[in-house]
Amino acid sequence: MKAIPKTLSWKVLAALLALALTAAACGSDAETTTTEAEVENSESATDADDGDEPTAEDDGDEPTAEDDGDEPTEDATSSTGELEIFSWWTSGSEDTALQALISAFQAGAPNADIINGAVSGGGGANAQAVLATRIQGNDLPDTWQSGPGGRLTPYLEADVIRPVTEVYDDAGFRDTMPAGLIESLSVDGEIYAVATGAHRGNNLWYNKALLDGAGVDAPAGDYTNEQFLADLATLDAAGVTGLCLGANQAFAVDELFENILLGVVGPEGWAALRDGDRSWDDPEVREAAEIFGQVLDYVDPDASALTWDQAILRLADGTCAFNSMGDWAYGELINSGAVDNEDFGYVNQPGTDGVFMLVVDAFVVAKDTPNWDLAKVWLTEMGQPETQLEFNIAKGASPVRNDVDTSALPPYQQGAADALAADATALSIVHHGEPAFQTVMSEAVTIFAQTKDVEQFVQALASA
Amino acid sequence: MTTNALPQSRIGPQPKRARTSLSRFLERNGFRILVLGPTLLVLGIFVYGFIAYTARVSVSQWQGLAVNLEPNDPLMSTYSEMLASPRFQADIRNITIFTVLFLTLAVVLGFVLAILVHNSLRSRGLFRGVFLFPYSLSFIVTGVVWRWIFTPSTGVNLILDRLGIDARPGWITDPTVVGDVSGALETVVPGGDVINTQLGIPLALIAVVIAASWQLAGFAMAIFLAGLAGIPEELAEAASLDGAKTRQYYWHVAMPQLRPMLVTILVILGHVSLKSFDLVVAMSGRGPGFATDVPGIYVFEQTFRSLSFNTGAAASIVMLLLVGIIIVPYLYRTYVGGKS
Amino acid sequence: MTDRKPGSNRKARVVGLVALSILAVVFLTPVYVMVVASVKPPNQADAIYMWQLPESLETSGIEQAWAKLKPNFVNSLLLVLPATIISSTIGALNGFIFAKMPFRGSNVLFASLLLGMFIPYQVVLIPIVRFLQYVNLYGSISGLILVHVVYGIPITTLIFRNYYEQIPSEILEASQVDGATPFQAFTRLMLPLSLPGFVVAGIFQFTNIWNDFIFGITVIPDPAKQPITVALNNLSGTLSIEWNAVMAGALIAAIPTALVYVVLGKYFVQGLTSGSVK
Repeated sequence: MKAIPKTLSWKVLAALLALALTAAACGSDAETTTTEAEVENSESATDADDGDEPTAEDDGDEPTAEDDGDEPTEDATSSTGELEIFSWWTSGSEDTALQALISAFQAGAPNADIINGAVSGGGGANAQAVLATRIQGNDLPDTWQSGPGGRLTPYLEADVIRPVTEVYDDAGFRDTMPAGLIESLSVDGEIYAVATGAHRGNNLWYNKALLDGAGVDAPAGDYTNEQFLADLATLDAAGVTGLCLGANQAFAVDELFENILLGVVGPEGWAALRDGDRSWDDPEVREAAEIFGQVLDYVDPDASALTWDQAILRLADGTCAFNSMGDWAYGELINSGAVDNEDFGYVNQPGTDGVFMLVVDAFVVAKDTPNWDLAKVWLTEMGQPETQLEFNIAKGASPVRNDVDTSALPPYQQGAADALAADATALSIVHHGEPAFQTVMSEAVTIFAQTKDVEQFVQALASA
Repeated sequence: MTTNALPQSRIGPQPKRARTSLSRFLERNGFRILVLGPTLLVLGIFVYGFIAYTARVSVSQWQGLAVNLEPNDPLMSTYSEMLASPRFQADIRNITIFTVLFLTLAVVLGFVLAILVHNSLRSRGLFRGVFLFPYSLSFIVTGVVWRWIFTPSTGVNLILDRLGIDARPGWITDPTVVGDVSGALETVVPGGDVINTQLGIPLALIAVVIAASWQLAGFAMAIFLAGLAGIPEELAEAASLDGAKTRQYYWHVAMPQLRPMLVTILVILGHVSLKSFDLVVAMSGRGPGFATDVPGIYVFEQTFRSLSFNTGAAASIVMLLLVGIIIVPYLYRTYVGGKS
Repeated sequence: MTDRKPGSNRKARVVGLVALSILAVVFLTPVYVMVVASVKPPNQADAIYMWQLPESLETSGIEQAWAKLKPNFVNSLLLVLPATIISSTIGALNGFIFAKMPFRGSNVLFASLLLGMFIPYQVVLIPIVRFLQYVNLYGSISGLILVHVVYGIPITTLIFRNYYEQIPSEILEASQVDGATPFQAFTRLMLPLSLPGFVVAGIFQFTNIWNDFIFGITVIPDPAKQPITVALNNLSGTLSIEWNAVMAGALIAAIPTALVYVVLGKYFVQGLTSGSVK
């Protein structure tokens, strides 16, 4: 038996060390290249490449404060500096949509640099985690993705965001955006965010061939929960799985309950429940829970293994007939090759005709940002009709302005945009509830889906 | 060979005549202090300092993004609420069962792989690479692949069908909890009615155990391989001359030699298991009726989704205590109680 | 050299090879699913089609993944190599003391050090960020290296302590007679025997740090400086995910770790021979 020469063994570690040093040597080059990659989106900002060297050195926690004082300059386009934007849009259509916002900003502030910080995952939960730690460390991005209602509350309580009311006044947003939406972005008379677009949460999608085959009529606007349950029973009798559900993600099940609940209580009841004017220990909530429990009997047995996008694909390929999901599902259906009104159809969730369940993305601004000038440009450009149009075509949502020429939108989005202007609105709890309540509701839904114990469910909601 | 490894010259401090007790202490302990000092300092801050901070947060009123270390009233109310919640009880049940099953499967599989690879005269490197490769993949993505595999109607069940195996397990979609003893406990144990969850084995967890073992058995194998390589050849030869059978050799000769390796594996995989998060999130999420929910997910959701920083902190303190209950006696017996 | 070892007779060897091959196939099945999915068009990369071969080879997923991961690849190397080497070295020194130079209370100290491994990372994020800001390392790769080194010490110490335990103390006793200092005894006697320990600790640390997501995302806010896992995570959007790119990205991100296994793998067996520890 031979002993390995010691020197040979150590060559490995020496090689590793050499590799580390080489990597370190490449490092300085790499930083400039990545910064270039980062601003590749700036079609308009041709001069940005030379100017970004210092940003790579900058640790990001010391924004260039001396560049712009507290005095807002009249001419926004002269603003220089660096705006850090933080979102959970990182890929595909979401990234395309974000780039539309960024290029609009860069047209408005050509001398400004951008840090596009984004982290996806967990429906924005990863981004939320990063923001939470950065808030504790007093190192916030200049502007970040948030939403209306309960999404704003934690930031307001921690006193880290500032009012953006003056943007609304200066840019005339008050007259062109739905009052209900502005209301949901406001606290005590001040507005705190500008919305990029609105998704509709209360859609019921269905596979036309499966319904036809089982002799079920395509649902119409006045669809009720009784009809829905009867149709599910008919499909079941015909050997068809009634409901697709992406139960691997809790939000999809929560959303199904939320949509059923809205159908039972209506928009006024919804607002009362949200605002705490009505107890969750309420006969109508019980009724909604009963219906929810019955609907769950028809769920695809694979549901727990499926994400929301897989569930809607199953609807497209005819594995199951219905799916209750927000209108981001539309893009997924089209991408799969399914044809609107031929392969699939959609209707408002039973009982929610004339109500638009709002799922809104909006940007807030850090209270202590030294780049308020730039942030104003960012928000102002975001609300312009062309930007809203371009963003929402990519994102599959609806512009929140009522003066956008919707004829450029695909047919589904045209309809949704018109509905947003005309319908009563309800603010989603699953997406925009108070964080603590949202968690309680989600946990209660998970337990209820197994136990079907209405009493326990309602008490859990009421005691939150 | 042995003498080659020894230093040829006499280097080091020569004994001095007059020494103060301090310098004698330093001379005897200087190296220890120099090495362990910095370690203890940083770990003191990063581990024990932060644990203390976490403990403090767990008894505070901190909910929401603004720091609030004001003590809760009553002080332990976060704990009592959390411990009573069906979800957290399910989490404790799940992580305990998961850890036991996962450690068993990963260690047994790792041991078998190590023996097979160690004795394979052909393509040793190739096999080693194959079994270690899953460990190099990101949990976030392997979780998705395993979710696909354990989707009943399209995944591994199709292969089972093809093989003529009639069972169609629900895998991660199966909400069944077998062997529920909570009812029995409630009647036997005084105060047993605090149990708000089914105390049994959730079948959905088994799929997660398989996925985690697939990913980490290779690491266990790697450590066992290093151990097997360290067994003096003479032992094997002696055993062989004694006419020991293969099984006897591994049981009576190799196993005792591998004990330290086993401890290493159990501690390392144990901590991976108790902190499991990425894999479960990507694979089964919280599972039907929290069948696969784990404390790691609970801590994350409470802290960053619900912004209940005190509950998240309390949950992690409970996790630490759990580890303490399981591991401290073990460490004590292994390292303190036994011979040193 | 293995000829006389029990279990190496012909029949056992054949059975062993067959068993290894079967296990290898089982182990590679999920990898097969990933590879196949990574070369499919986006709408085919889903569970429904997981067992099917791609209808056409498509490189769009790979290209998309590579374009996004490339800038962060170097960051991860800059992070993982120093962090692995430093934490393994510290672990070796610590392990040496705990194994070969025990003192009163050293076992208790060792056990309390180990407990540090079990702290759930989610709750220490905020203190970490505050601490790093305090020492001016927040947002830098050095700060991230520090975090990984610190939380790696318990594991590497454990690996080396258990490893050195196996090495007979007679070697060191001889050196004491020679009057070598503990440091000299360590560098001259223990280090040359430490390769398997470094291989195991190195593999563990390299893989863990390379695959870490949660520290990377919280300690470094600037996307240009973030490690590869953050970029990998960002290959999927929040509501729009193309699995072909994600699968391709995961395979790309696994290459360095896999290379390390191939390079270091053979030293598991070769690094320690009975002759040198007799």
